Amino acid sequence: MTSHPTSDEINEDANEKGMALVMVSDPFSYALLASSLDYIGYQLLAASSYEESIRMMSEYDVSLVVIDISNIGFDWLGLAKRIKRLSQDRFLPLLCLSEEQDEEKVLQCIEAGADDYILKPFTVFSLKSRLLAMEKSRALHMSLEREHLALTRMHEEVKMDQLLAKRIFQRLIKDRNTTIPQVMLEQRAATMFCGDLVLCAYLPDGGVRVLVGDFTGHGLAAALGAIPVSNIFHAMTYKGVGDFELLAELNRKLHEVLPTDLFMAVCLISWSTGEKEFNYWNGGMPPALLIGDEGLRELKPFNLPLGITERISVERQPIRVDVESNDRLLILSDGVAEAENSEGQMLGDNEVFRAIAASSQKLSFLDSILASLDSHVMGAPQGDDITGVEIALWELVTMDEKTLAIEQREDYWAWKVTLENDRLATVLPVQNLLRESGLLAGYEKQMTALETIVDELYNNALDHGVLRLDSRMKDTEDGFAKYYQKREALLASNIKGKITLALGARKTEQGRQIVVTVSDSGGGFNYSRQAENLAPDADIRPWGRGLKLVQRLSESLEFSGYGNVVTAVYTCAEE
Amino acid sequence: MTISSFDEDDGKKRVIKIQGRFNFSTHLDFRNAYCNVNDAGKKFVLDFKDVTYLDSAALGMMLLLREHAEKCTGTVEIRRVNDDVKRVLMISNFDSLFPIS
Repeated sequence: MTSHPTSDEINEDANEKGMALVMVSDPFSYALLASSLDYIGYQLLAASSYEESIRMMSEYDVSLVVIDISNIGFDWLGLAKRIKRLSQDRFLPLLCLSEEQDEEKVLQCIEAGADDYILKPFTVFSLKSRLLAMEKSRALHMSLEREHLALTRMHEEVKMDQLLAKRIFQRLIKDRNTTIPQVMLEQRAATMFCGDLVLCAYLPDGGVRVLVGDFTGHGLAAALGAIPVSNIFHAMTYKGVGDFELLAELNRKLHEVLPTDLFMAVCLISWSTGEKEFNYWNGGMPPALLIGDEGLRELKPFNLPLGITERISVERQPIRVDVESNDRLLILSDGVAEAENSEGQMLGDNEVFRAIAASSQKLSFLDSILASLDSHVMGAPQGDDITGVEIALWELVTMDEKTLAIEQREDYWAWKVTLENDRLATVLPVQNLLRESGLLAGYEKQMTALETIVDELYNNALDHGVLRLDSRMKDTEDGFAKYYQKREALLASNIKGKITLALGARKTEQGRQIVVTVSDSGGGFNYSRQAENLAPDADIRPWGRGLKLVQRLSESLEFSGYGNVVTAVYTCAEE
Repeated sequence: MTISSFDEDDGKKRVIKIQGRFNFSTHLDFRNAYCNVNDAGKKFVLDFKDVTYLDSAALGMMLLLREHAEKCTGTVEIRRVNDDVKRVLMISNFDSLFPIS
């Protein structure tokens, strides 16, 4: 940008006014103008024709133009228009000089873009006051320009921030959520980034945990809060930490990082495998709706949102709610009932209930509510985030084959988990699976070996049993990569199958033993030929090392069934 | 002005009266209603008689007022609240932080 003086600079340094382009032919006026402008602090540029004026405009950094319109003989109106057009990106004061009888011309000139006029003959003081008045408007014009520029830049930055927030949200929150068939989810953001948050994951025992949160505010502020929430939720759920401990930790973190006026309303649901009830905790979200053959029950919030107080109330533990026949649980953010149409009328709770009552067998409650919401708002702009989660609880509790059993006696325990279909891809480390139960107390020194045995046997069952991959593919370097690509693709598709992992501990004369049994739903194999894989040269082949390793770690390794069951016995080294 | 404030009980109470929609657009006025009131033990009263709507930003602003009041050993309470607004306060369990009279 060129540097034009601001009004402050005008007062400070009268010699730095810049250049004044004058187009005046009558010698008396010219002399008067020249001495006055010089006195005020301008350098003079005199032009004698239209063309010369335009040339000087482009060659010099002109900060004032004076045209004498009482002269006949050149297109002064065209010149005024041209000069204004040339300086349209900045404020260049244009003053016309006229005689008393020129009133009509003055009007035309002002209409063409001149900023003011002065009558001949004039005094240096009247000229100076006109110029000062024009410079004031120029200063105003420039400060507006600067603000406009700053605002545009800020607007761009906000847009970038929104994009960043959206990216963070996508990567750290949505991508990490587990798809759970019994959990339906619908989210519509009011701004580019949604202050509503839904997290879902499986618990180590195969149970399900869902968190629905609503941050005060939108955009980056909400995204910043969402990062620790997502991290803590997934890490603690993975380890099987209890609901209340999770909530207490989320609250502690949010209280630490968020300013006083920001917090997160939360509804947390968790269901453990084998249970006919679920845990419910609600701080500041609208009541969740439990709907089934027993009718509709509202589960009220009973706590403050998270992040407000230093600690959450220990007395207000999650409550246990029985799952009755065909029960489904609906969690809706306040954006649903408060969705407004163009007249400012909210959808309202009654309309939500009506949509639930009217929902057909084919549609979920959520679909029915959203259809009702859409016909209410009729495309009016959305004021708040809209989030709806529907959990098919009855389907969860009546699911078969999701068995988990623990049997424990004085010197003996047995533990078993069955994983099915899309859950097969993610088996948790045994240590994490069993930590909560306390069964592994006293086995700390054996963990690495145990982990290896379980991992190898499980992956063997998954790769060769369920996925039917041929390990001889790994014979070449190329094939090695292909093997894992194929494995990945298979796991991402809708795999069907089942693996049961069982661990048992017993005391024998040789010492304490852990028996690991893995069985899969695959076709098995002729295990009399397994000896080939366990032959001494197996070490140097790029495949088939897994079972060899297990064999070395274990007391014994045996196949049974039709080759789909493998049992390893591990003897603990006594101190 | 949707927010007005005045003293009551010989200056023991500072009443902040909100009209219409209590949301983020009122945050400057709301803040101005209390930020220069620092008397020890001051009782801040939120008069919700004419509040028609209250959102989560307003809840956040109430927490800021509470923080301010605590700094000068004062308290915050709510009076004359209608059922719709009360419902929002109850959902958020804000009645445990702000006594409603």
